[in-house]
Amino acid sequence: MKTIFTRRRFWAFLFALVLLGITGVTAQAATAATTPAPTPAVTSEKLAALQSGNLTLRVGTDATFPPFEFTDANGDKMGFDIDLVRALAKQTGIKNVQFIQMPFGNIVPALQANQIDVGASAIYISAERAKAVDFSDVYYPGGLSIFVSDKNTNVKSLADLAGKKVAVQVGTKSVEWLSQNQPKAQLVQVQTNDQMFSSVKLGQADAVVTGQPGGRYFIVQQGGLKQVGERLTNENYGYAFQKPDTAIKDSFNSALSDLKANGGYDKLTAKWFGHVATAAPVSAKAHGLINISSITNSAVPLWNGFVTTMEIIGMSLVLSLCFGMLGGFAKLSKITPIRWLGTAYVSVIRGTPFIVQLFLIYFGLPQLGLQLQPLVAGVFALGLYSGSYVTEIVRGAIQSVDKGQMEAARSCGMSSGSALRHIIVPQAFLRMLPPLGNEFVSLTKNSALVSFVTISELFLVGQTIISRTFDALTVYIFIGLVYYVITNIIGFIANTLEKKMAVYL
Amino acid sequence: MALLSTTAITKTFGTLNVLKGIDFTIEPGEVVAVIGPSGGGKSTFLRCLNLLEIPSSGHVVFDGEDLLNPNVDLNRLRSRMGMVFQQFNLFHNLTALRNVMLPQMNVLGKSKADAEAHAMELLEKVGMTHRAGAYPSQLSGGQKQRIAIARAVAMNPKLMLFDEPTSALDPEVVNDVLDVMTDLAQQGMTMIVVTHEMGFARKVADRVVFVDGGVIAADMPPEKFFADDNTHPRVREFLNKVL
Ligand SMILES: Nc1ncnc2c1ncn2[C@@H]1O[C@H](COP(=O)(O)OP(=O)(O)OP(=O)(O)O)[C@@H](O)[C@H]1O
Ligand SMILES: [Mg+2]
Repeated sequence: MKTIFTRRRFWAFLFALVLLGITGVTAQAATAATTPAPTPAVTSEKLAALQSGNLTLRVGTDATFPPFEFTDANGDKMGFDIDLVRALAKQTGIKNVQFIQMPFGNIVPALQANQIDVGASAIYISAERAKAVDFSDVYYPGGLSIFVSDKNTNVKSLADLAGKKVAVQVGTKSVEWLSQNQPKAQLVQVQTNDQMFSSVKLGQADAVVTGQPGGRYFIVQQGGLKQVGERLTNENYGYAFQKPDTAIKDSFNSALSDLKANGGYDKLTAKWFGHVATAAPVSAKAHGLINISSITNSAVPLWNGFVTTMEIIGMSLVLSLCFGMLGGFAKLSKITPIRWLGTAYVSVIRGTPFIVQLFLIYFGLPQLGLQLQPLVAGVFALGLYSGSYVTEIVRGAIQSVDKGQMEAARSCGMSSGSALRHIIVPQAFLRMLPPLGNEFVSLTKNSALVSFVTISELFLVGQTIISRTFDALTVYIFIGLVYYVITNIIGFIANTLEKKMAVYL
Repeated sequence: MALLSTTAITKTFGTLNVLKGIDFTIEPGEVVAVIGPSGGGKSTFLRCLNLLEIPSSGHVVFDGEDLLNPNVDLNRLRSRMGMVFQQFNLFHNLTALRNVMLPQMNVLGKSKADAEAHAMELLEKVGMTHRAGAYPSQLSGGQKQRIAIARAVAMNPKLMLFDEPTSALDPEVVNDVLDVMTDLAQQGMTMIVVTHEMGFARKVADRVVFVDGGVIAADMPPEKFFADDNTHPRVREFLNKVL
């Protein structure tokens, strides 16, 4: 009876604590949202800084959407948006432009969090988005169209999509439009542009609803699909800006009309869409099942991605050990509040998905005024997450060391710190090695998830290669192999270290 | 002046009163054997002397200093009290030699060379030089216990505490360890030995302290304690069982 009562009190307390935390955070977020937007003078200052080269224009783009934006074999971004933004920036007098890779769905949040200055990723101007960001004038007319396999004969119009599986990219206009205009379609939501087309080619979906330019480009490049029916919408593409940056937006608009007047704009549309506008459907290019060229042509970006992945693993591994040691010792502390802190750390971090923590750190913290570089956010999130597991490993290993070891050390007059350092921790470390090895294998695998916060590590490089080559099989097999080798090396190191250290067992 | 004295120490674990007020003194050079029935509180008493267990009340004065005074440097005082455990408690991750060296260097601040020379000298005395490089897992119980004694003696303690040092040993090696302890006693070391070895208590100890039910039920020289005319009822009962 008594234990039930105290347990209930514990839960009530925990609940109250969480509630307190949430309301505190939302209150802060609310104040952040209602602070007045900076005055125009401030944005002019920013524009001036961009023009003087003191600031770099940060352009967020999901370079997996040819011909608007994609990544070439050298890892360079290219496409209509890339060229046009460069030309517009030049016209505006902005010196430095940096394109930042991010998933399409993250672009608007990234603008709101001041992680980028421009969203240039074939974004449709919509009233919904215009609540969160400002749009430039229309820079290219677009519109949704239906694409199906070229062998498909039963989908000819929007009405035919009823009951069919329709591939759409997460966060794009197609999702909302279809749910309003063809609610009977079953949406297959995929992360990237190429996955949309692949899912039709592989039979995972019956049709794609996406922007006409992108669909046509795919047909030209790869074949196997055809466009059916009329254009569904007459949408317009615009560049997205942070609400306060009206000066930058205005200067882009006047640069756009300048380029349209002097012919620069037409040159770019001819370069990227000219052949599409006139092209009759082209037959599919021949593709083997495994194309080593998909890898060898992209050796440089793959190597760079590999190096970035190794850096991320290395740094987050060290961080994870630090958090784990701190957490482990906190959980063993004689001081109750510190012990609580350790317990809370493990409970919260292990009790929530890694991807949620990562997004909270990268997209959420800016609302509280703390903005982290993608790499910093990624490494921190990985270290924090893995550290909660290391905490339990450290605690378990230290507790498993015979109590007599500490007593013998203390009875000789050694301080508990000395005893830990010379006797307990070395013995505990040996016991930690096998579980630590496992944990660091997990960390390595989780590191692929930081691609979501725009870090060009191995997995993201692979995705950009696929968006260009559409060769998911080869690239994912290759990337899987690389991770397999890394995890096995980690396992091997842990094993060897254990054998070397285990001389006294 | 007494080297160590306790006044009215008690110890409770939760609701269990293990020690119920122990007054005890030992003079320099004395060897005291502590005997008594299992569960009587002998180990707890010994562990209260170097504060591995904190007494619930009472005083422990060692070398003129009150151990329970929060201002005393407990580590320094502990280094002058060697302790030998039933389960040896050698540091598993260190060789025999390193076991004897580490506390000298860490606590006394001795140089590596000095610590090693002193350690080898003591390993020689306990007959263990040939196994100096071995890890505890590679040694027999008797060998481990002799090294544990060397480790404690290496600190040049004023007092040695032994908690059933031979109880975990095979009978044929018990005497190796007892011989080392006898040597130590003959060199004038002050010792408190919790033991079930009645022969050792009778031959080597100056006093026998009988701990039973959390109190010192008898404290007398061995010749009286083991005499056939000792009429103390609990002692009689105990002796009849063990002898
Ligand atoms: N840390 C502890 N927590 C709870 N009870 C304990 C603890 N240590 C000892 N006790 C209890 O205190 C009593 C005395 O134990 P102690 O080890 O001092 O006896 P002992 O005389 O040394 O016995 P033995 O001859 O078996 O070693 C026992 O009942 C034991 O269970
Ligand atoms: Mg005992």
